[in-house]
Amino acid sequence: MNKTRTRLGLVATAAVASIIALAGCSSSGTPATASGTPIKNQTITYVHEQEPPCIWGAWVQEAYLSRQVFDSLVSWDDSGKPVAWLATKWTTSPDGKDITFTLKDGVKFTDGTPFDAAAVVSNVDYWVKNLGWNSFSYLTSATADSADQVTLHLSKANPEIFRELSNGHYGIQSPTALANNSQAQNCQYPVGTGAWTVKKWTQGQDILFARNDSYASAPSNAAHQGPAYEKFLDWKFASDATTRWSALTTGQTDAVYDPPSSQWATAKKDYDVHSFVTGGRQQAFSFNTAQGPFTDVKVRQAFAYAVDRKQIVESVFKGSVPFDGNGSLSPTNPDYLDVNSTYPYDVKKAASLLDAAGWKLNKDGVREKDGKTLEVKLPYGAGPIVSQDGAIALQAVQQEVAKVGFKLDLVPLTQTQLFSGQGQAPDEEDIQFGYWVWPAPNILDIVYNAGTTAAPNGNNTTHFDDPSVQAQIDAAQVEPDATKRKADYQALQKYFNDNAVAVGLYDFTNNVVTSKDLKGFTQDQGSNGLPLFSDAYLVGSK
Amino acid sequence: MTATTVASTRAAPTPGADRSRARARGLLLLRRLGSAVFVLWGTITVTFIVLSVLPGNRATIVLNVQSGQTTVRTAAEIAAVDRQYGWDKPVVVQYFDYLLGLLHGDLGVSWQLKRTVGSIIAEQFGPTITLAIASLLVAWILTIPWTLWTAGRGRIRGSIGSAVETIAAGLPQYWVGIMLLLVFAVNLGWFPVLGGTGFAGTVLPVFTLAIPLAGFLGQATRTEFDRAVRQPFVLSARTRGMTESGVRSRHVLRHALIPGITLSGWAVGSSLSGAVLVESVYGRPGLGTVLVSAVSNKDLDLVMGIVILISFVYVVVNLLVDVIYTIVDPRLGGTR
Repeated sequence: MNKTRTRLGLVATAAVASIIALAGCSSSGTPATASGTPIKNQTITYVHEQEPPCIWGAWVQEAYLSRQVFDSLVSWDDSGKPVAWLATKWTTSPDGKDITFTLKDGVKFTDGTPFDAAAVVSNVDYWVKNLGWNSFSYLTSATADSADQVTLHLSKANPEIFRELSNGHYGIQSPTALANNSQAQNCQYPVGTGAWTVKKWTQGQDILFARNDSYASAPSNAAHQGPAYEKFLDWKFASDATTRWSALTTGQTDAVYDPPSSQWATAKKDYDVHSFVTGGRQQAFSFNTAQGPFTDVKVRQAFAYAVDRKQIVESVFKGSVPFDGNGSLSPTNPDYLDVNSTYPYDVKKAASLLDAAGWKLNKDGVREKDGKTLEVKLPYGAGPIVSQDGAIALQAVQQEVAKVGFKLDLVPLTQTQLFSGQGQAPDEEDIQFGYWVWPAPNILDIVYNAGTTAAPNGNNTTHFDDPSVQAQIDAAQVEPDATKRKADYQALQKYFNDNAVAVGLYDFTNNVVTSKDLKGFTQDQGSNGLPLFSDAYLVGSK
Repeated sequence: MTATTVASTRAAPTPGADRSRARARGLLLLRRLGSAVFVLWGTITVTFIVLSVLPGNRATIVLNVQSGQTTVRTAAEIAAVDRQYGWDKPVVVQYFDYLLGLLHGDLGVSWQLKRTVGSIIAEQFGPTITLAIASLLVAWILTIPWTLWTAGRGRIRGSIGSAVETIAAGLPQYWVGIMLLLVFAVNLGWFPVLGGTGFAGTVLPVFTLAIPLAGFLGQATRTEFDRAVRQPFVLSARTRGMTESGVRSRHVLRHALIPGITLSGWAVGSSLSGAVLVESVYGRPGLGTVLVSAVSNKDLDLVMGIVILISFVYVVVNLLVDVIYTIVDPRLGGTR
């Protein structure tokens, strides 16, 4: 039953895809001239996929919006270093636990409140209280040393704190607004010092951002200082990829998020494509190391050998999303280790590993041991975590592992089940599939720390628990010497890959396609690749 | 269906009968109001119970949605959230608190959007009701000429008419939406892709809902039409010298409309909550998307608010349907 539906779904997808292709042909007459002078004071239209509940929050979808309205203390440069933004310079104490920032002069929030050290302190308090995962930045509090100098306090050294502070979640809001405005106002119409202000949010349709005409606090790596070139940024929402793509091909928008993968080749030919692999860990298989068949390292390795991961990613995503074999760390993070050549597709090896582990093929082609079949459950968040294409990739994985005798049950979770934590407990799953966006290599601490018995770490989807490895992670995290740190973190990644605790499938990639008439579009180089429009302008036929 | 035709078919009323009829009408109205209130209360209660017992801990959802995580939460974390929202009270107490608030006109606050439910509904109701009513009207505009042209006119024409209706009724809305989008917005460029709630942006969403609906209405109308066209009154109308099209449109159609009108009440209600696919294809605001996200995140106050609104609309529409029955078929007036 399930299979039939899957197949029907594939047929329907293919049918729609071919129709889009036809549609694309007949509308290719759209002029896309690169020449022409900037046409300023217009509206840039961008169509995004998911609409979060608030502008600011702990969900990555909220960082997309926060980045438009707020400035941060520092900005992440493509040279791999933090550069000045609301802070002009900074020093770190010898123990790495206190960072003192000197703040930019004369900056005002759009409600008139001056930006100063007290404002930063209010924001740090707000983050500590409201960002559910803030503890992984080890940031605990801040003190104002003077009006233009503030010190942030960490519970332990964190050389990567600047990467974290530069991402959209750590944008600075007006302390007046935080203290006096209603929750609803701070949710929908928060106040920052950024390039745009929220003019009107029509839920279910769009957010209209208006230019902050007195903007004077662009980061030092921005293409220009001062207010944005265009007057409005119309940020629309369309959850359907075909709709977003159609809006672009008909010239009704200047940029779209994540086109259908079937259109990726066309996008590269006729438009400008921008891809950013997010930091953190990739869309990876996390094997349950606490219970079930995957407690045996041979079974985990067999699973990895049984799947032609590279080929699946290439055929499903058609080049829009790269394969990544590292299940622990993203290539965007510092200290990343490339393990893409490990666990090549090798059905024989997979079979012999399973034989060695005592799992024998039965007459139905499924393996058995001690009277139990090798049936494994993989719950995944269909929609918010795993896209339609991602789900197709998982179905391909299901077919490949069946050849060596795994019976893989894919269990798509509804949003309610997903957010209520279903399918996460060790006895509810054998493999979990998903990503975690995070700018620093201490993602290893986030996803492999067992926590305590009273408060187990829910982000640990492998249920991995090894105090000696945890000690190495803790040591790597506070290691002041960059070379040693890199070596330590790479040794850890090698450990997790060798033991196949988690193996990667594809990079969580933020793709934006822009019209040739939109110039100056960039993606934030922090860990999220957030789209930036403050340096963007329209040219040509508009 | 003009008022004069209705009046002309009615016998001249006597003054006494008028008064008793007025009293009957008043009683009927009271009974209707009473049953409307009962329906609303029942809906509220059932929705409240269902949302309370459905699996998925609300506090866990709040914590995970607000932090973008999907983890299992500790008892201490859950207790803190429950206290904050008053979910630590017994469900019965929460239920009466809610009813009390409702009597004061307080629909509560959405924990997801941090806004009052009233303001969200006020913002999202317009586009949704426009879509629901416009698609119903368009569906009827498609159905009536099609039925008059194909029903009761021989086997071949009837079969074609019926086949087209069956296919239309079976079309998935998502597919219709994508097709209309690709043909009329992308290839022909007649309508915007993301048109918002303006007129041009509403045309394709309306047709997306109207085409399958017209199929349903057409099927219901055709069956009744085929039956009515064989009735003796048709023969007598013809013998009076009425034209064929006159007989069909003035007499037969009137009989044939009743089942379709019944379906219309259901259609308005279902398109209020079922417009989510259309909203998703056309990037259009509306209650469908809000309701789906509210249900999946167990945003109880928001779900309740929308459910109350939808059942209220159902009640009103069904009252209207009853009124329309008596206009279309005055014989029904006395028995109701």
